[in-house]
Amino acid sequence: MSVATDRGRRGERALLERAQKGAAGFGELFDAYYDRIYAYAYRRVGARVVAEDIAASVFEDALRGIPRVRWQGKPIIAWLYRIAARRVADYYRAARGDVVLDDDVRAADDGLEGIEVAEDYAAVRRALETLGASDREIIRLAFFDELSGAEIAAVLHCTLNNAYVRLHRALKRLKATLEHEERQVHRAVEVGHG
Amino acid sequence: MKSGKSTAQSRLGMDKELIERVVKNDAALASLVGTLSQMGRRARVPMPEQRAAIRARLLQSSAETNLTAFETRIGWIGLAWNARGIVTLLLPRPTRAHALRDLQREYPDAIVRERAPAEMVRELEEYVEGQRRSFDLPLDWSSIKPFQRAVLQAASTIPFGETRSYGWIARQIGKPRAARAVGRALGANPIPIILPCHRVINSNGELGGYGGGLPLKVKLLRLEGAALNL
Repeated sequence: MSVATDRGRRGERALLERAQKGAAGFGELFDAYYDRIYAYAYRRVGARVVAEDIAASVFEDALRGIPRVRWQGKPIIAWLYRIAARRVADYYRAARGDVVLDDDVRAADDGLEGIEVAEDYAAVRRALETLGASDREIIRLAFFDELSGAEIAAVLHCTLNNAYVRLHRALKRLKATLEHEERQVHRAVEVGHG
Repeated sequence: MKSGKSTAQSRLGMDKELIERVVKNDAALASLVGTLSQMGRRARVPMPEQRAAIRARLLQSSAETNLTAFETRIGWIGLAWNARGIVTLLLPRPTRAHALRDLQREYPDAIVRERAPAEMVRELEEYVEGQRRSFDLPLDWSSIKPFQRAVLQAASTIPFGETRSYGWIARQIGKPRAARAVGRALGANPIPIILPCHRVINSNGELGGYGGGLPLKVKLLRLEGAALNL
């Protein structure tokens, strides 16, 4: 384990202890993680207002639960992500398909790049939607939420090695889905011109 | 922070080691991983707008104390709690008004609630009815000083229906000559019943003292079926 990581862990432990002691400490924890939890929620619900409601409820839960948290050497953020995952699931259960999306989410990848890039992104996004939920989630955690391997392992309650294996499998399935789709498109184009 | 880019992402980027390891084991994935990394970097998250308001509300609620009292077989139990958990349990009073008045003396700014969170009432009622042996309720330890905390934590390890002496607690916390200080710390227990200071008695089997009066101590120990030397 690197020195930097050790120091990071000691810092996290001290932060947890301060947050358990009083409002000022909890405020520090809020400041350290609110944006990441909000961004996590935003990427899954696609609307700022909903994402902020979810982030607020995550920290309400955290405030209630924190006296009972014991330091186990795992990143604090992983605990918060697990609460957030439950809240996002609650939201979808309650919304029953009646989901609001900010325009941003769909327009997120436009810009100066060429049309091919935009199409690549769109194809990947479509393929992601067809993956199983656990494959989709680990890819999101790694590439969009930008969690470290250790954080992913803590969120998913598995070993670091297992996190690597799961991510690898998920990527392979995503690639297979994309290739399959590409073949379909080619066939459609050929038929179209034939 | 650059304009036009999300400032909601406080991290520097994805875990390079994680990505490298996946690609190293499977070069066929390199281009897909590249695309996903770009997508991740470019996916924009709008700035949160409510952060300050949410923070203020949260921290205020964490400091806010709530009071209530509810009737049980042994009288009106008072509770003071905040977002962290129970701060004070007031031993039974004859009426709700008595209980609230005594709590308000200690917490003049607290908000009086119609009822306590359901699990608090349920666990205490079950205990008083003899149907519960231990509690799983959040407690706010933040205003309890370290020595008293150690004493109360040691008292919490005494099993339901058993008793230990003041000296036993003193030894448990590594202060064998502090039996008197232990007695004082237990006497000032802010959360009796849940933190079972009633299970601590004199080493000769006499009851010692109790903030709620000895009859209540006897009642609680009998409820638990403890062997009493009376």
